[in-house]
Amino acid sequence: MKHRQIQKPLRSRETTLSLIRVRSVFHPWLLFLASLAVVTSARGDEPGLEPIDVGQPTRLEVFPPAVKLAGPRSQMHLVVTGHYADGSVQDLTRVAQFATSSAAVATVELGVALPHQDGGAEIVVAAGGQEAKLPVEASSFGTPRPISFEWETLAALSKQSCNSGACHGSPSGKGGFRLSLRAFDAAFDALTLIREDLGRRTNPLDPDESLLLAKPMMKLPHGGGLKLKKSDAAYAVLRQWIAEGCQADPDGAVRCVKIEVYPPSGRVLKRPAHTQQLCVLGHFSDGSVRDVTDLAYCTSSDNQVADVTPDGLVIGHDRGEAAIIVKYMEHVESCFLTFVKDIPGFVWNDPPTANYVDEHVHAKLRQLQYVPSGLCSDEEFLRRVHLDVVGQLPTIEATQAFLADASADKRSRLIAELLERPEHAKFWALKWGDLLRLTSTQIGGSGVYKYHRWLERAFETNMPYDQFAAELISASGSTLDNPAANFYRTATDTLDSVESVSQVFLGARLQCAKCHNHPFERWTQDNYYGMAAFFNRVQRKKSPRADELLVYMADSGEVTQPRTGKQMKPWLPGKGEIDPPAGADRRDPFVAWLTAKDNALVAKVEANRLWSQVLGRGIVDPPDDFRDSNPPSNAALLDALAKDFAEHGFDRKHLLRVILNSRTYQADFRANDLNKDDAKYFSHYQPRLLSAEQLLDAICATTDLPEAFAGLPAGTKATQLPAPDLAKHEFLKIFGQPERQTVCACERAGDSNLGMAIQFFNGPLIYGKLRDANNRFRKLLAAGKPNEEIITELYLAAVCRKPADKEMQASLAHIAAKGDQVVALEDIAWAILNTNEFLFQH
Amino acid sequence: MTRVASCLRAAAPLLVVALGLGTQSPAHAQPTLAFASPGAVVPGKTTELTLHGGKLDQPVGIWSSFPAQIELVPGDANQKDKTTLLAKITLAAGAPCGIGGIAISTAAGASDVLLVMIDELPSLADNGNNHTPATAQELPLPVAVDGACDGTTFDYYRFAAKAGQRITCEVVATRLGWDFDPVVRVLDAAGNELLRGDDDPATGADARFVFVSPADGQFVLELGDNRYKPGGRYRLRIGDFPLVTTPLPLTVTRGAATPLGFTGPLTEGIAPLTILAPAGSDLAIPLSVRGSSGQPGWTTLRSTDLPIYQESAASKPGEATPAAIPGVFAGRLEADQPRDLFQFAGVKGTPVAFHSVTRSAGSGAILMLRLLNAAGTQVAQSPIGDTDEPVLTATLPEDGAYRLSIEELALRGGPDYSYAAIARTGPHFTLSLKNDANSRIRHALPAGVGAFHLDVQCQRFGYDGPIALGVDSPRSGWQLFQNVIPAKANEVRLYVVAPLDLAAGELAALRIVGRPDGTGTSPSYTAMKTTGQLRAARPQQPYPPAWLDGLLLVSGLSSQPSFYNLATDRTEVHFLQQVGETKLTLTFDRTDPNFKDVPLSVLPLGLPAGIAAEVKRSGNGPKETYEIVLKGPQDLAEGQHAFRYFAFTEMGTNGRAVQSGDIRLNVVTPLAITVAPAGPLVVGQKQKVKLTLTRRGDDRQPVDLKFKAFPPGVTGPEKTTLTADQQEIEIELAAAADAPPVKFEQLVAVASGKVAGVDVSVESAPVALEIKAP
Repeated sequence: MKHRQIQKPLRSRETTLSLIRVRSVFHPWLLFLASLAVVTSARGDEPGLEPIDVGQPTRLEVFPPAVKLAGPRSQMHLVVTGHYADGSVQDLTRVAQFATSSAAVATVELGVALPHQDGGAEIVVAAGGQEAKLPVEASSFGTPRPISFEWETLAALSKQSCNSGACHGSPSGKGGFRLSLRAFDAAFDALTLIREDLGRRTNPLDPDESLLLAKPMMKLPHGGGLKLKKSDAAYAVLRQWIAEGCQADPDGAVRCVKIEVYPPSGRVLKRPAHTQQLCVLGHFSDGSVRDVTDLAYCTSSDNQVADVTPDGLVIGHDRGEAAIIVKYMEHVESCFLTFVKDIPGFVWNDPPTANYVDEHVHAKLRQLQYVPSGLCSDEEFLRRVHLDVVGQLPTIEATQAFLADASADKRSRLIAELLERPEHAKFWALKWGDLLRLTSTQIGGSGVYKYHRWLERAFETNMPYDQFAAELISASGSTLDNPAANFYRTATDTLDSVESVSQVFLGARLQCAKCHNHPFERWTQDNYYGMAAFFNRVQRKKSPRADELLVYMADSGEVTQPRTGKQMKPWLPGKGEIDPPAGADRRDPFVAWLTAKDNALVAKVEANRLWSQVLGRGIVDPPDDFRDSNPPSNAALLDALAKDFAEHGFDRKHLLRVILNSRTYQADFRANDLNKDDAKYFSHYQPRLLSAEQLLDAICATTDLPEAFAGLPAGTKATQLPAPDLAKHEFLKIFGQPERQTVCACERAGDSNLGMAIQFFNGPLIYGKLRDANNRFRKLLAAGKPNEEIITELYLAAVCRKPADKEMQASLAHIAAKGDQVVALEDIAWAILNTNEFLFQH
Repeated sequence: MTRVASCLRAAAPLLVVALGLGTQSPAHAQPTLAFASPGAVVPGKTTELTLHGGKLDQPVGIWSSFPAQIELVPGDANQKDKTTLLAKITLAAGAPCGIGGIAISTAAGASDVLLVMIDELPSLADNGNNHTPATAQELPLPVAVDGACDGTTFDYYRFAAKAGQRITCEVVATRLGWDFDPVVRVLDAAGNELLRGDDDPATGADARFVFVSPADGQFVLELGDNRYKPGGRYRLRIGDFPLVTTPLPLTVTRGAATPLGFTGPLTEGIAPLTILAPAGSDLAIPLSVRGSSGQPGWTTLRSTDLPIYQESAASKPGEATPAAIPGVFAGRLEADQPRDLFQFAGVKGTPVAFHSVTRSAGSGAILMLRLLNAAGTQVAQSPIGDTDEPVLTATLPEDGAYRLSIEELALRGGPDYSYAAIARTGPHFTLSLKNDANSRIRHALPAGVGAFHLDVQCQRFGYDGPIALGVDSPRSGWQLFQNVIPAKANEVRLYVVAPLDLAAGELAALRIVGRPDGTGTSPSYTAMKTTGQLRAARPQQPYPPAWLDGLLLVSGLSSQPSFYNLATDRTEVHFLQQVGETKLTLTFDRTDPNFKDVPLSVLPLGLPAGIAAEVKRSGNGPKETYEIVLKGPQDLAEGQHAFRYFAFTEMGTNGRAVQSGDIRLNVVTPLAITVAPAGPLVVGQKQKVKLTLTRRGDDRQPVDLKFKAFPPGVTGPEKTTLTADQQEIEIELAAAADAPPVKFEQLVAVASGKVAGVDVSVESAPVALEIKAP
């Protein structure tokens, strides 16, 4: 791939006509334009890229529609879009032809407009028999403008990732050279680059001998390897800056206030149209707009779906969706693109839908050409929905009754019934116990039970989620008579509060922004401390009463941004700084914003969390990691769920009912040929290992031997434990029960390991239950039940179905061969417990 | 059968002394009290209370915090390690409901105080077979169930109610000192939860609530411990009685009739009453509070000598209640009006202290106090610390109007958030027992020699002078040593010695009080608190009953062999002028092999003005000695004085004191010399003169002797030295042939040497030497 330089004297000047390899139909008029030999330039199809079938667009659209070039180093990337009769679009930038009415004023090279002198001109763009014209205005060509330290030099270093966390942007730098991470601290970088070590890193008399250039270009040894080439736009910027004497920006210098990325999100590109040129415009404080595409740092959220080149060309590789994250200085924007291609054999079978969930899922699947699997069996549904809603296997009686029920609505009736079971509240309190860090160590031996009971009650009473969030975030008073106040016991200080609130309720992991602007996301250090201003007045006071902590609000206290020393005003995402009334609890406006009906974010986060709990994967996944670079796999579905959630008063049971009643939830876990590659778009149910607590309860249910937890009432199930440190259980630890040290759902390990396998091979729990004289099959034996009945019960208890004939015959044969009925039944029970069908929710 | 009776003052901690049970040496450990059944004593009746505990053999004394006639029925005298004891307790009719305490003593020691209720509701025992809704125990309302918590198994009670019937329920557990954190649920016949009660802002872990029956029928009450912790006990009161948080105001002026209201979740309909708090005691007054049913709720009332200024419920936001200082500002914070204001006039330079009273009086509030000047600018605010009852202190910066702003720290308000802020203007102090493992509030002591120490701490508010500590006890005969907190100091170790006539098994209660020592400033006295020790013993009860806070219990032990001997061979010591120091050595002999390392505390007492003492320990074990080193000015006038010393140490919890008799302290010169001529000195001849030296100290050094002057014509040696072991010497004087005959009246000898490393010099009294003609 070719790379351009932005410095005019260094730009390649060769005529590029010879490089144009277009498959478009050459219009005579275009040939005429070319013959004028004014200056015509295009990127052309590049090696490795699938040629574009230009076809017959109905019109061309060029961005920007008008070009203003101010100064000799100005430029503008042009993005050419072809619109087609069927409503589709494709990016024609790399095959379009450009002509200018005045080459003396401006030319277009590789799709980039460049000035040559002050004046006006017109650029004509042609492709597929269509053309578009755009005016060009060049000005200040004779007025040299020094390189900006902040938005050119630092941007260039960011573009080359010199200041990334793995290189000189790490806290201790590399090789004695330390930069702020992704240039978040320009003052620090100015000190480092201009003053530190007596300026030995730069040599204005001979810029090319500067360490700043020589090392990344590997003229001198460089631990990071080759990071800069002469053809890189960043090289020209850095060299020029050095040559100009390594100047910092003067006071009051213009700053970039925002960036704009073209095209906007939502474009669907169907192969062979699998590329998209980006244009990144920087809007500056003096009102000017500059093309910063060459210095913007672009990444893809999914490199398997699409990549992006350093000069902003997005290249699709596979069907799917990807967000292209564009970062320029502290500004971050994203461009969400969908790539589609025809799949051999794909025929949309138009499956029925149960509700809007299926409609959105099917729409996405149809667009990406996946065919959804059919419905799961009643046995699978029964087991699946029990595990998801109440955390436990159904009893044999419940299984038999459900399987015998022939009514059409039995699945929805079961869903409704399970959601009203007390076990539902207990099981979902466990999930939230993980997020809220319920441990007796952190909350106290008395408080932890009260906090857990508060959680259980919130689910029992189906407390609306906005109220739930408000009660936690606004909590004050005694942690014992208002257990929700324990939110600020586990969040022990201001910063912990900010990070906990943002991760739990905003689905944003803010920790990075505590020390520096988030390297890849919108969150800046100012945002972090602006959010902190809502919580810094939350105070905690011990009391003579054991376990009690009083949470109250101080009436004063401000947050200081540690880097800038600036006193921060409370700041809300999307709203900016606010001025709460003096004396008011600053958490109130935050909660009001958070739970406002028009704030879709909180609804999306919880809807996504509910979805991920029952589907095993979030629409945004991980579910507490909402960010531009981690887009939803089905944005329309998430929007619809969030809308429904908010419209129904943040009723979690309602949303669960909707999801559980969908065919998407009830889909077969078995993939077909046309969806076996899908792991993101819910074309089939994704089996997953039971959680530690579910698994222990399932073993107990199968063997009919409940586990006793010391200090807790008989009958307490693992899925109902208030806190992991109240009843420590080796089995649970091995299977990933979290310590609850963080608010991250990721603390619950989902991977299998050798310890798990050993537990099931011959671990003490399994062994003990199988050898116990009171287990299910021994009691049945003692009651004189025949082998067939015992085997059937074991299957019903463990996997909610009767054994297949083959399984029954194999089992009976094993009993006969073994000669010892009890030992043989032990073997059979052991084998059932070791099947994937038992271990997995499927 | 042993009969013990008491006749006690109303509403005051009381003492019952056992009579005539002998003083045999205890062969068993001290008694313990675990619980009583029933858990309450009924006013106007004789309640047979079975006390459960350990080592309840041969009880001698019983103490109760409430006025009662008590008869102990100890049962079989020969039975050992008895675990129950029957007490017949007769309370006067009309005795107020509340929480009282009982302790018993045997010859081996005293029990801790067992908290019991005084309650008119009939008591019913948990039948122990009520662990499922199906086997729920029937409750005839009103009733109070004395139950025990079975940990992971809950207790179930069944009661009937009519539609709309109001039923109040409260669990009294932590207020009785039990480690029980109740969670209560009311279920309908189908098992559906109708109501759940857990922590209460005012009563803490003790759940309380009002249940209004939705329909005629049977209901089940489920009761268990929040933590599933076994062993806790409870008294479940259920009926139709007011749930009172505190009186309003929660403090009244002693001796002044005060109209009283009440606040709490169920106090509507209670007729206000006027109360006249008795003068004298500052302990809380228990009150029964009745609603329309006549069934009693209960609360306690504080009293003060200061006037009360009560915030009006009708006051508008920002409106200040007129008040004056000193005084008590009282009221209740509302959720929609979380700040009360009191306005008073102040004089520049006046030290003020506002002591908040809330949680210790039963309120749920934790206050934030702010002192504002006339312009509304904050002058001071109360600190925020671990205490729930902060004190705001300030010195008023100018003459003018001030306002005290009272807020709940977490801006809570409602029926459970009453308060009082006691405004003091003069110098004052508070006393507390140091909260550490060495501070005990219950002791068993042999008479006369048994002793204990208390590290008494003070918090000063504008008073820097000494604080004299004394005992407030119906029992006389206590001896205190080192009973003054010196000026500007904040702590002293006070020693208390048992009365000489303290009988074995006798149970005595006392409190330590402090008075400004000789300054004449208020207050008349301040009682020492033992809150820290009580909380350490019962962490679940952060605010013990007011009568219990500061209470010390001492029981008499029979004569015990001492575990050490302390001796000195002196009854007299010389304080040497010019040296300015002397010492008395005490030999400390540990006679019990188990008594090791613990040092002896020695306090010299009654030293003459100007003499200070220092005690030095030397050695550890068989040859351990303590030196009392007395130091004073070198020119102290000669004279005879006396002093004593007090010594104390303890082996385990067994403290023992020794008090010396008078030890004479003679202030003398370190040397004394006398001059005695053998006869007249004849002119031209010689005569012997005898010099006799007396050394007063133990330090025997050589001493130089010389005469200050000789008569005319008389000569003798210029200087003579007495060796260390010499007491006297004869010196020969010679009269010249031409010496004039004369009677020389000023023959004076001078003795010089070192004593205790100090150069000393003394002169003899002048004597006459006659020079005679031959």
